[in-house]
Amino acid sequence: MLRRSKRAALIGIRLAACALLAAAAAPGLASDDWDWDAVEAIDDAPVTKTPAAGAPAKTDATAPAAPRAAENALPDFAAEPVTVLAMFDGVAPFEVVPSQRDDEMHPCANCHQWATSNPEPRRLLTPHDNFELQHGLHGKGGFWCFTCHDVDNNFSLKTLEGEPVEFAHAYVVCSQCHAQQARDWAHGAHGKRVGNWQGRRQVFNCTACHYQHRPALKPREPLPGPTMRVGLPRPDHWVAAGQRPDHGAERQRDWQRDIERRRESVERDDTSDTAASGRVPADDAES
Amino acid sequence: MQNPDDDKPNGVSDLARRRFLKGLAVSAGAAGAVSASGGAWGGSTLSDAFADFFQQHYQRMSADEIATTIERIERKAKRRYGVDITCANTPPQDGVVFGYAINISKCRGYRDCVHACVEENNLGRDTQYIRVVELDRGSTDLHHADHYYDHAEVPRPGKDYLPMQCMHCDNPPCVKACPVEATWTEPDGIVVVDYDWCIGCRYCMAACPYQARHFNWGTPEIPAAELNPDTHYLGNRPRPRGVVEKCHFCVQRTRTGRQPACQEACPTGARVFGNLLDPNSEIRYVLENKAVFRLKEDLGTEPKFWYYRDA
Repeated sequence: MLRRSKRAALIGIRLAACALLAAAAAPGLASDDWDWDAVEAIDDAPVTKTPAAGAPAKTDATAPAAPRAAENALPDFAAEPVTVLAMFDGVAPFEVVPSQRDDEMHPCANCHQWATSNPEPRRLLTPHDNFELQHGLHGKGGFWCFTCHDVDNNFSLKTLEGEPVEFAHAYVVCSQCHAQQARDWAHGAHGKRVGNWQGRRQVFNCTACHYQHRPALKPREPLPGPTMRVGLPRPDHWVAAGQRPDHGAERQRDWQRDIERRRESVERDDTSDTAASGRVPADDAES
Repeated sequence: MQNPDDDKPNGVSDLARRRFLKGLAVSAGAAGAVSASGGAWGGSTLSDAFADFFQQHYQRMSADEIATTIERIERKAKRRYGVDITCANTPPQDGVVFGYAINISKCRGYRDCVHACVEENNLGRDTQYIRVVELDRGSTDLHHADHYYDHAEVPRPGKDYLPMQCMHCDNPPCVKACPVEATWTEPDGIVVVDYDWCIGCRYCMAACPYQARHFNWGTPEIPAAELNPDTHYLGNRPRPRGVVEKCHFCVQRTRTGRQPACQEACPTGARVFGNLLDPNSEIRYVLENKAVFRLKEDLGTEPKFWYYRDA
């Protein structure tokens, strides 16, 4: 009993958007001993309700309900930007741009638009073994499909309290745990505004940048730096520190080749001295 | 008697003389109908070369003179790159002062902004306005920062990445250093350069504490296919050799309400751009709610460019 309440307290902290704290205490929370009764207990406990987690549930009740699975149609991911729900204080209404990356989720829908789901938390086996959920407690488990997805409606998300959420409003689901990020996102200190700084404010949804099943951004190769050192050997201690000796040389070659081609064409024009060349401007050809 | 030029193996001087005479004749005959092929007058026509020489400072030109100058700029770009560009002269908006903030917890050093800037602003391909420096985590020690970092993957553990560009100081030392007033602060806070008035003395580069200004040692080399035809007089129009240039907050975009190219390119959303005078703008939220800092604040340059970290 003591263990259970201790675990419940830990989950409660995470639900209260103290993700870091929970992660530090995470080793005892491997997916195998995830206590789903505790989750239900937490859902009823008022102490876990942060403003961010509580607000969406209220506003969601008034919002139009997500299309139910009866239609059995895929949601229209290419829809127009939608106005965000009024869940953030002190923010003028703004629009959220639907995620372009929802394609990555479609493989699930290929089967689950007709297949029923097994709601029981378990380690996923064939044919699910190509899918890995790396979300929650830094990939150590603790999340399950139906933490965020509605088990009765494969085309709807849900809050922890079971209120349906449209995919276009995925930020409602995210903000239950990531309250700090959600507040910054609503005010513009997190996330990315699309297109303009003036006029209609359109912001990318959380899932546009963070793949929802593996939210951490992956490291990748940087584009070339200043060209001063391109073509020159890099200092040995930089190479020893993991930098490549000749990175950027390829791009340098590319644009130098372009320049040389352009020079050649200019020289051709100069030597031919006729209006036949393609580079001679139109007004010249007229005269 | 034989013409001494006939002995020349390739007749180069003969060709040059012919072109000179042709240009002279045309410009003397009709000032309106310009015509010349490449080469002479620095790749221009005689009339355009004269007009270039007598071109006034941007702030002293009348609207008509600016319009004529812009036509000439477009004509020269057509001649040089074979591309039709439009050179806008969009004025600053009332009640707008631009500011920029970068979340260095979010910046991951990909340098997408750097190359978006190069392509948007028609930079010579050996020039980069944005300098992303790699620092030890939590440090702002620019002396030990590396902007040549080149790892197989970024971000590296234990490193922060901090993009630097023109800070558009409210008290800009570069403007004070310019002996010919070729650089000044626009009403919307953008520090701009009149590339045709700049004499290339590079005093401004010495005065800038952020190394934000760049000198064109040669004519900027831009592949014609990559030339951005959407330009602005004070922004990304093609620049000549021997002048200083710098970030201008993408004046050709931001004065029409768009985001700068670096903000648009950033894949992590680290960049926040907006109007400092609008209390509801995103940048004002950042300035009022985050622990922001500016680089070399002790110099009193009052940059309109802030950095902040999450939490």
